[in-house]
Amino acid sequence: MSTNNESFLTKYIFSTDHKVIGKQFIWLGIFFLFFGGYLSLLMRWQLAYPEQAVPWWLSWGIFFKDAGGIIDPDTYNQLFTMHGTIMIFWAVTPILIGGFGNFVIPLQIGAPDMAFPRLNMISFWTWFLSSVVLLASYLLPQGPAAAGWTSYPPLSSPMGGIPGEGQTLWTLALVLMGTGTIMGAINYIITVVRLRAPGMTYFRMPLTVWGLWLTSIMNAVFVPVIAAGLILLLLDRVLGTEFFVAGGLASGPGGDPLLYQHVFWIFGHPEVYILILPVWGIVSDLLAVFARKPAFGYKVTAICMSTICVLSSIVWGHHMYTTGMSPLLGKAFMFLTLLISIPSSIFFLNWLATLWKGNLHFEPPMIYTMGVVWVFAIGGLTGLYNATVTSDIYLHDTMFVVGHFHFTLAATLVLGLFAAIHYWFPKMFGREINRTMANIHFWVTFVSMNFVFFNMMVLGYAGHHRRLYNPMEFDFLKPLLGLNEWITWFAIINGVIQLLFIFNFVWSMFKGKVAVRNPWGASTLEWTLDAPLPHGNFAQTPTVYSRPHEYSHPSLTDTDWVPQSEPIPGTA
Amino acid sequence: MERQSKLSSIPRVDSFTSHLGLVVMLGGMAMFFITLFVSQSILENRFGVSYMPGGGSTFLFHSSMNTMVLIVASLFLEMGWQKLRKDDSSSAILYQGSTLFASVVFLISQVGLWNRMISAGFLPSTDLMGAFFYAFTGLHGLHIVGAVGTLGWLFWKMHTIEESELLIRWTVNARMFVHFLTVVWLFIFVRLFVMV
Ligand SMILES: [Cu+2]
Repeated sequence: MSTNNESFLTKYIFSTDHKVIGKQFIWLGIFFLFFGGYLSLLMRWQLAYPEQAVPWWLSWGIFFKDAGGIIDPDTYNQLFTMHGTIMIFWAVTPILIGGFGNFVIPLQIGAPDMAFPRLNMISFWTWFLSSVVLLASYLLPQGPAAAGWTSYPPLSSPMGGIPGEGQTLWTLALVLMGTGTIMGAINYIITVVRLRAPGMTYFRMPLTVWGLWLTSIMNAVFVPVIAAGLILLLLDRVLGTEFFVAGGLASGPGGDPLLYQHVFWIFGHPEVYILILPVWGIVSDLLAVFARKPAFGYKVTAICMSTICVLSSIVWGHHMYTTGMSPLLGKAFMFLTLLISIPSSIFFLNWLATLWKGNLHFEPPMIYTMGVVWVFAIGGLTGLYNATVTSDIYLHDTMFVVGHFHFTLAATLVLGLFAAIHYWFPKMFGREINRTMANIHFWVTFVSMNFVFFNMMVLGYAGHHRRLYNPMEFDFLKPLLGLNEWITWFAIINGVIQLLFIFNFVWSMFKGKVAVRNPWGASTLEWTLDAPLPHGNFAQTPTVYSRPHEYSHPSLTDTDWVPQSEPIPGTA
Repeated sequence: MERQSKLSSIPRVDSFTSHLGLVVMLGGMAMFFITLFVSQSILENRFGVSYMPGGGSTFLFHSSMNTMVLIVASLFLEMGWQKLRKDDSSSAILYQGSTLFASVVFLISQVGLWNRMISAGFLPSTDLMGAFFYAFTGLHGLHIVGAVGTLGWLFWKMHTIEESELLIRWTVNARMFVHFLTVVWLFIFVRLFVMV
């Protein structure tokens, strides 16, 4: 089954093997995770010590030299713009969707590879090209994009006040990235639909696959929408059209900047579910593995996730309550948004019920997973205040929103991807990841991120706006300086401890204990294979007999699990 | 055959899977163009319809000819497909080549139309009509460039590859793609030239 005479280039660089492509995505994502994280620390420095020189250990003695080490307002705008853009599209998306989507989907459904392996390779390299375009904007004399990760016009249009071509490259990079995303989405959707092993019905798929599959469907539907919007924005910048320019800035009748906001959020709200669905799936599976119980309400969880996908496409207006939309429309969007809390609460209670009276094993993947349960609860509950028109009018564009979406997106996704990395590490590299280092990394990360994001919400409640260069220019924000300092130091601790993670990752790759075939006693198909996995995966296509988490089944005697590819004794 | 064997460790998917993949892709493209159409309608609604130079009629003939060329390309492709199904591969190649030729003619004529528009002082920056005219025709044209590439590749494959199953699969895919672009063009034509 293994490949014959593959050169280094076809095996590691232009590989068509989904496992290699998955790892390429993970490496790319980890690079950007650190890059984007570093940008956030610089931003935090400015908020805690406004207009004071960045210390040498943070600026590495090379950045901000001409301004005497001070972050100027333009640079600050670039920091939050690129932090958001990079973390969402170049860090979390590649790791969770590109990386684990590639690595896990074919293995868990018993497929030899993705349906279209060459398209898969092209998808990664399109992504890589988009990264180069994005990073190239740092070489421009006026630096990268600076209109926020949402890049609303007119701020992002040439007459809107952001100088330089950074914004143009940003838009181009996003269009390229979107193209790569759609290629991946086509592959994932078709792979799940067509390449499931015999017996692997939809309701026998692991919830990880469910999450990634739904994510891909949403990507295929909604990424083209933002691509169209971004191309119109690009034409505004390059050809002098005025799709999104209005009023005095326009030379003629002009267009409508609000149209961009609609197009952006028609994609943008589904995007948050695109990002979080894989984590919901991973958490649902991992809780069952480490509680040694079937996932409570397996089918209901899958249906709830699907329901959320449908609902998420008709709630985008909750980002636009303050744009002067009709109160009736605002109410409709509020109602629809709050509806989402029903399926969300149902599967969240399913998670808790999976844990209930379980035989909990606090292995590294499990502690990260439990972390997700906590931060997602906080993130979800604080979302209600943003979904409600009356409270959102006060909270809109404050640090409360920043804290809220960092609980849902940053904390949930980052802990989720750490859970995934620690869980599949033995299968990816054939070695165990070091447990002590993982534990230390988890607790420091978990405590510091909670402190940071929770207190951001406190700041917001006190009226602290987001994207504010120097809060000390406002008297009513001066009492918040101390809290800003605390947040910054906890953010720095959070940043520093990630070095332990990367050390553990690389160290364990080479020096970790050699892993057994199935260290977690998990019953999904990938654990029936020995690492290193050959190109083509299964020597014989497996046949699936049961749901993905039949742990502690009463008819099992010696062990508490059997792989999905073996019938549970006494059932059949 | 040499090139196929390099990927031998991965089983090749069946034709239905391949077509299904293309359907998902075309679904995405449909969302893309729908976003553009809806954006145009919204802005037109707010700011009123602006007109092309000469009320559009000056360029209506040219654009109608382009539409005809694209429809003919689709027809040729369909006829080639019928021939291929009857195993008449030499006629199929002829029709496939004609499709390719018609698509190239469409692109050249489209560039000609842009030239005339630009010399008439009708630019992307002129007004919303201009902006949408160039956005639609440009983005559709880019997809036609993709179609020309696909058809050229298919034309070459028809001469070099023996395996009729693969040939039929690729022809079906090319057929879906080209017909899809023709339909999108009909919408664009109606929206830009007929409904003004
Ligand atoms: Cu939203």
